[in-house]
Amino acid sequence: MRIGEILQWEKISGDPLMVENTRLVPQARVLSVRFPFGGFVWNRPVSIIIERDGKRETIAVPDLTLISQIAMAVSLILLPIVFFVNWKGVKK
Amino acid sequence: MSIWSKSVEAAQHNQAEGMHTLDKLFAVTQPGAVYSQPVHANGQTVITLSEVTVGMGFGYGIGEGAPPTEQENNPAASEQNAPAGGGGGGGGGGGFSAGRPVAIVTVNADGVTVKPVVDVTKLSIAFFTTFGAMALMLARMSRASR
Repeated sequence: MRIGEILQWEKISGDPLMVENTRLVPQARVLSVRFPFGGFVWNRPVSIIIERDGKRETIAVPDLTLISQIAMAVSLILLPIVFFVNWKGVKK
Repeated sequence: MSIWSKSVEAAQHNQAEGMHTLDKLFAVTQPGAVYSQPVHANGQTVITLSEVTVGMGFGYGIGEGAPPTEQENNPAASEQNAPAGGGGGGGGGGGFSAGRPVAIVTVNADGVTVKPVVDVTKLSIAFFTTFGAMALMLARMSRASR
């Protein structure tokens, strides 16, 4: 997704790498925000396309650290809500 | 060259330098920034994958000012000359960058494997921050509901 030159949120493929008889095409997801006086870039690997022996396969790159951080953030929001609702129920 | 003209020229030069540095920042948007060069060892090839975060900002300003009475008494002063009262300029900038390993790709005779890397330090900090904030919130909610 692109909004002019200001916001870019897209999956991009890099230059292929040849390792022995395997061709690897790295893919990354980029979020970049560009202003006249500053900018921000977040670039992370998402998958690798592997071509070997005539077969093509895409392997996802799991970011376990990011998944764990998101799970903790969601629990930070949800658990107090659950507690609050149960507490109100007990009071009634 | 008057002081005012020098200030304007310096400001324009700083702006050009800032834009040039900003262009370098956006070189990080390429996939090559997160995938390392292959390393060959013991019959296998290893490529490390990282997450990269970079940010920067800069600003500058110039200004002039003069007491109205002095300007009225000095009509010969033109826009090219330094203001009768005074002028000034300033600028600043800052940035940050962070990288974190995400996974390791291993290529050998058996095939290609992707092994995730868990950043234990980052998770520990997130854990203590999250549950500390949660405990504080729950304590306040309990006190408020009494």
